[in-house]
Amino acid sequence: MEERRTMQQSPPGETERKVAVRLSGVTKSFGDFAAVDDVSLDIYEGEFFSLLGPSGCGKTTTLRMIAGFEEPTAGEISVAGQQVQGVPPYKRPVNTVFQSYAIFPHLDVFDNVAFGLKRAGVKGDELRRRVTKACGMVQLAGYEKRRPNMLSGGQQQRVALARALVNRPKVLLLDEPLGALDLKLRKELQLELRTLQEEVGITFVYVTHDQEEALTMSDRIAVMNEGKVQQVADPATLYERPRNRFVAGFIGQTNVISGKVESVNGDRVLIKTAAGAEIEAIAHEEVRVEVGAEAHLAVRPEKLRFGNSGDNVFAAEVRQIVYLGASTQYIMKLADGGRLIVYQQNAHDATVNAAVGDEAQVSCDATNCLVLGG
Amino acid sequence: MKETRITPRITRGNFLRVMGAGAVAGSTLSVLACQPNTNAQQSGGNGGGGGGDAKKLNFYNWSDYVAESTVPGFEKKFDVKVQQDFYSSNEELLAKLQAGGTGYDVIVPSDYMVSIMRKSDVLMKLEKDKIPNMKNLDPDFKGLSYDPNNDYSATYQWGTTGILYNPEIVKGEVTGWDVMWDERYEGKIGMLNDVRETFGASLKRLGYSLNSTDEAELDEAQDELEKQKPLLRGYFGSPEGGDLVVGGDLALAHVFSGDGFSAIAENDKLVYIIPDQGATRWTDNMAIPNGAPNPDLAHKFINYILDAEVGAELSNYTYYGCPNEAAFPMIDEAAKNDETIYPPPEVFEKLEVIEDLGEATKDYERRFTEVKSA
Amino acid sequence: MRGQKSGWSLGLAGLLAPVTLWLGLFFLVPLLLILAYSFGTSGVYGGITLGFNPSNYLKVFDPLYLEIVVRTFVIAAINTLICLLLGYPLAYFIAFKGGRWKTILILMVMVPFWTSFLIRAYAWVVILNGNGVANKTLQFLGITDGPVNLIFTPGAVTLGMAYAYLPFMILPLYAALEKFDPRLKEAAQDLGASKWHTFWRITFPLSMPGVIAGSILVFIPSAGEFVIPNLLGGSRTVLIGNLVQQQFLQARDWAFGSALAMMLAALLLAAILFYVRHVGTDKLEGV
Repeated sequence: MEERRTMQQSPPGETERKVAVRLSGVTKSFGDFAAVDDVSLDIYEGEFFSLLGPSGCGKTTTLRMIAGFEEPTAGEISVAGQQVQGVPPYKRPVNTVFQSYAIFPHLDVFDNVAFGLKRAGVKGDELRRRVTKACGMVQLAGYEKRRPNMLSGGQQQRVALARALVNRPKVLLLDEPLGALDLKLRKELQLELRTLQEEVGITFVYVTHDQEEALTMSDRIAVMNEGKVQQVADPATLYERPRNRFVAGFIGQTNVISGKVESVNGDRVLIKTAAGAEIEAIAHEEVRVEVGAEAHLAVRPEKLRFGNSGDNVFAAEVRQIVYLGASTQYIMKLADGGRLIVYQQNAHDATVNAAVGDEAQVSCDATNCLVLGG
Repeated sequence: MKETRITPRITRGNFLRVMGAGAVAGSTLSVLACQPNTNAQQSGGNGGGGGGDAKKLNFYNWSDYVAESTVPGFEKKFDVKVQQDFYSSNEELLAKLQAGGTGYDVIVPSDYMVSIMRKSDVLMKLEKDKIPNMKNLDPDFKGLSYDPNNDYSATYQWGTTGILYNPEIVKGEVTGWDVMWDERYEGKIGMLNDVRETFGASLKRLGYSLNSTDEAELDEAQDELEKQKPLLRGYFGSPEGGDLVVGGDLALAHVFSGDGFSAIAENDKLVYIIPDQGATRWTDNMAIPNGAPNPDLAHKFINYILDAEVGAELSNYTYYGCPNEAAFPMIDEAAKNDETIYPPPEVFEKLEVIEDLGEATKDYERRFTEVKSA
Repeated sequence: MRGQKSGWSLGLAGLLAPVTLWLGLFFLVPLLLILAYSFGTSGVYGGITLGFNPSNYLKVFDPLYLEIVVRTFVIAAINTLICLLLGYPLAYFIAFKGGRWKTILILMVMVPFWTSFLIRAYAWVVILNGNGVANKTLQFLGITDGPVNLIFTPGAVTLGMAYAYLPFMILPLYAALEKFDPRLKEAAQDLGASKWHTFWRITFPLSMPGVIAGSILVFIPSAGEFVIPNLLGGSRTVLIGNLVQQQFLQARDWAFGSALAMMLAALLLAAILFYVRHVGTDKLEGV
């Protein structure tokens, strides 16, 4: 995963890349409640795209609308250039891997995987060949005669995967497929899925609530909350430049400091906190800053260090120390009562040894203090 | 035509057809629960009435088969109580007695059943000196084949089995059995669901005895019945047949006289005839079962019923044939003049009593099954 | 400690006792009684002497009676099929489209059982006779000019039998379908199966335990039916049930009646075993 393909941000129109799935102003309401609220997304061919968000944010509903199990109340969806409103699932060039696998219990592995092909009229040798290949691809070679009740969770998941992939869909939709597995298996399968996707080259649309999982596997991620898309970007951008408080808080850990804007100088902003501290921060072009207005800053815990060597220095008291093995987490209390979390790697030259109750100085650079949008 | 009678009542015929699961279950269960044998035990008191209380008579009879004054009259005259119980078929009566159910003083089996009960030693021999009124019986109703010396029974009421029809549908004169084979009334004819009665009708129509055991005669009768079957609406119980003619589903029904009269009471345009080739004359008879708790009182009761006045009251209520010669003058004029209740001698001659044929019964049963399976 | 090792204990015996007693008394004993009778000899006037008389069984193999057996089984099989064809859509509808009305709808299927069956059968006689609702409706709609023979026909018998046994088919089917995972339907559709294919290849095969249970529950009592052919059919057909009834009541040949009953039981057992083996006993799980 070291070499991540650099994805451009989402600006539409400038892509030479083909769009696999396009959602335009899609809304899904149940009575008064909008589960999905005016969502517009472009998902490109060949990318591993994740829909990330907490429970109830609308990510699964969005996926189901692409699959055809729900119809949007408003807006349009197209897959591979074709509008798919009103098109039943069995006519769409997409396949789904369900959270509960939904393997057919009365068919063996071979017949499960072959199901879609048979519906499409594939027979005989070709059928056998493709099914065997699909099983091999998910490391289930030789399991063809097994019945689902004799498979483990992980194996069932692979069957579900093979069953979907064998049909060569234009887009593969995965609805939290690893949710029911234990941690080790999950990590293993995450890597496998990613590798598979790169091999096969199909567009994957992946739904998950686990931000670590999304960061690990995806080319781009759409963070959703309460039916709306909060930000669409590649993992690094999402992490380093969260657009708003929600994204900042959802992806990784972050410290949020609030204050009033004192002055604006290009992309540099000076914020004064209620306690009187002055903090220099960066505001990227999409964030609007007004002198005198309220603003919130985000500083990642690992960007803070002990000492006063940065642009911004905070005086704080060590309240709690959490030892995490490879790193140590310091929970500090600021003069104005606010909280600051500081990560220090336990590197070979780690020296900071503040104890609980100590007064210490913590600092960071202005470039690591981000002004957040609304 | 006849005078309109009192409201149609349930008649003997009603219960000669087994009423579905209830009766079957009832009699089967009662039969299976005890040790069945052909000798009634001398034990008293299981089933029905009580012990040998000189003040109480247990009277086991068909439903609605006594005049209003009959039982109270007896109770008053002898200063006793009468406990009445009812049964719905001869078979039920027999089954009860065979299973050792005693506690009854007087029972009222039909002709063939008297024969069976005699032969299976279920009846107590009558002490004739306790029944001086036996002389009141009409000679035609004494010493019948099923009880040649009236050692065990005394006739209670009698009737015929004939044809009830609707002259608005059945045109022309109806005098004999042939009309039941008339193709013009296909689908509107009903015969009795009773093997002896229906075979009897077929035999009489051919000029044979309805107690025939001649194979050739039976073959012919069976043949005719098989020819008749496609024309039939079905084989019904007697009261059911009557109701169906009243309701219009049948134009012709094979019924017992009492049910015929009930139907006419509802629709006075209907007609009941005794076919001129002859028909069944049936009798119901009083008898005392072995092990009766109160044989003395039982004899008194039989004698009481045979009293002229009591007998007349009885028949004037039931409108069945009165076998009591002494009572005959006190019968209602309307009944006396009714040829279907009291047929003229030339018709009377052609009437036959159904006799028990022992082993040959099985042959009849089998033939009837063959007819129904045709 | 000995009790512990063999797995038995007073508690277990106590729990099993009522059921064993019940089954023994009301099922096993009557069955054995009939078996004993079937080898007995009938008295001429009813009653039976026990002994070893296999001739009753020989009588059973008479072509007349065999024909009746075959006819009975054919009618029972047809009735089962009719109940399946009528009952499946209903069970499907309640299970999948019932929503919050599910419980009420299923209750409505069961409510008729609260009334005596005899009354319900007679109700059909009233409905279908010449002056009944059915005929009046047909005339009102102008389909017929006068009353038509509806009652006491083979059609009436078919109707009556299907009516009587339909709930026995619907309830097991409903039980099987109710547990059905709707995701499986979605998966099938996702993989390209149309609604019909989804039903035929996924829903129906997975409902087989219900189909089997329902079929057995309908077939067995249908084969023993004797009330409906008489009540609604004018006693024009003789089925095994009628034959047995006749032997016990009119013909007073208890031994033969018992032999017929035993044969019916044996044939039914054979039929069920064949059916279940053919379809697979593992399919009976999960109902």
